[in-house]
Amino acid sequence: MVSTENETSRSPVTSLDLLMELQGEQQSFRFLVRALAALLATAAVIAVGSVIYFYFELQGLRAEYARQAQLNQVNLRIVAGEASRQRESTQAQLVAIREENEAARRQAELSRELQQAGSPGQIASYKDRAVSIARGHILGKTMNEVTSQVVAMVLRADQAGSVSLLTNGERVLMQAALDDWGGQVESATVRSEFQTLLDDSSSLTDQGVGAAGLAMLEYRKANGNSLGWNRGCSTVVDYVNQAAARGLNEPMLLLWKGQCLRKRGDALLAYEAFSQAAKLMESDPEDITLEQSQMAHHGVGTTLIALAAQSQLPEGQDKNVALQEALSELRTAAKIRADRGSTRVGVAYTEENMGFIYILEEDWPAALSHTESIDNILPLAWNLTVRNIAARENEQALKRGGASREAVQEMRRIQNDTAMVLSLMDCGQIDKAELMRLLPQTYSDEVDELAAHCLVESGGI
Amino acid sequence: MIQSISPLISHHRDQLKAESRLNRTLLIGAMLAALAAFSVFLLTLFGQYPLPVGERIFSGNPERILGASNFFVATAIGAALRMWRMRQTRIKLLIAEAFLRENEDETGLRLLLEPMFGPDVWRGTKLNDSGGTEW
Repeated sequence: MVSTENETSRSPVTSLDLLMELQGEQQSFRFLVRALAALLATAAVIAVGSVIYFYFELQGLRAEYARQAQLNQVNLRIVAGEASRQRESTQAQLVAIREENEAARRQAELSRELQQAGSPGQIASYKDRAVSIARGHILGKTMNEVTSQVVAMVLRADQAGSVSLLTNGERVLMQAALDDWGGQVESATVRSEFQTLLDDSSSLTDQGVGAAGLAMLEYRKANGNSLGWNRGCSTVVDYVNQAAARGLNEPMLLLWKGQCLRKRGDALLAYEAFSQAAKLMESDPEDITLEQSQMAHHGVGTTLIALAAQSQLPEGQDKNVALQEALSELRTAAKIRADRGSTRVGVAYTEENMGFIYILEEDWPAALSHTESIDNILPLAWNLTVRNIAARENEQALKRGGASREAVQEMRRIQNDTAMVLSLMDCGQIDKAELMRLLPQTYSDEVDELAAHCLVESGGI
Repeated sequence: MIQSISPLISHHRDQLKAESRLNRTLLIGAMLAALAAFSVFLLTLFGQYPLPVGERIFSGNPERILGASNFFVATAIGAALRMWRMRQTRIKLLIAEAFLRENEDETGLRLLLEPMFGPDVWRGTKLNDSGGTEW
């Protein structure tokens, strides 16, 4: 280049050099302008890219935050629900105590009579009553302070007196009932007393009562084990059948049998047991406790739902009629439960099952409003499942009917909320096996999906 | 005397030019690096981290690559600004040189000195008398 040569020779610059320099500058200026333009474009692209990226990142954070907040809320609700359960169980114990006291109070007259009765002859006149009290204790009408005195006095008179008042069977029965009520004797002793009654009695009636006593003990144990078929329930049914074979057909026995069969999934047999119990109660309502009639109505209602859901209704029974009957049975059960002094939570346990009826009737709005009212009391696994299914079906129905976007969104929200609460719930509460008996087979996938965490826990069975 | 400094000016101008060339390389390099980093960012965002190293650091946090590309853009802007400033200086020197060559020493000197010291550089000198600007 001319200019560098000039510089090296250190001679003064010529006009031509300067012109060349100026041209060079011009060129580099053009380059600079282009480079700046490209730079601006690059910077703009990167800036826009960053803005979009961080916008979405922040959206994600916000959504995550909202989810965490919701999880927190759901957990609080579940904990509050647990507290309500505890309260309800305390309340149930209070109800039991009150019912016992109430029964004792009604027999205040008897108590006075007993205090005056001194001679063996007077006591002997209570014999029949004492036997029936002991029988009643086994068959669901628990003894109380007053009635236990009758039994104890008659037993004492029998042992002390020279003449035997009672037959052998009656004596064992009364002793066993008294031991069972007092709770001070080992349960094995009570069991062996009933076993003796069943094995060694000469009369069929006594044998039947022995079987009933064993059924009572077994049912009590199985009830503590959530009525698992292999955890005592099969034995209960066995003893009830033995009692029935000996001519003892009592509502309480049938109710125990029904409860166990219902848990096992034998809806039809359970329904027969419950409805037979209900019939017996109707024909002789004298000695029926509220608890028994609540169990009967609840049992008939739920087994009817299960039968309708599995399309196993007895021949000639219309599905809709059966569902209406189930609804009224459950309403009655809920009313009895409330009348007995149960809290709202206890009533909700019974009313919860009505949701299945609405599902079977495909009345989605009714199912949604019903489940909402239950959910306001406490979160229950079955109720939430029903709510989720109802929202899902209602969403489809709304879409078909061309409803507004908000309504569809609301249905989606309900599905998400219920699924979230269910995913945090204890698997024991979901009890998928029994839940599936109350729902039509088509919802099996939905239930699997909702109880996915239980599938993992149980090792994928 | 003024004639003798002219080659010096020329030499300084050439130095500036060489530096400017360096800046130009820097500018182009930084721009290309910024674009490359941004492409890597986009690829990472779509789940296809392209580089053989650094996957552990970057694949989960694409915004780090975005930081790198921002750094390159800033470097390129710095290089461009330096180029612009040197160009201004070079043109001023060029014009001063032209005046000196035409024996317009006074204008030449003013063009040389005023950009550095401001118009006050002539205060108290005798240049006023030689028909220069009124100070």
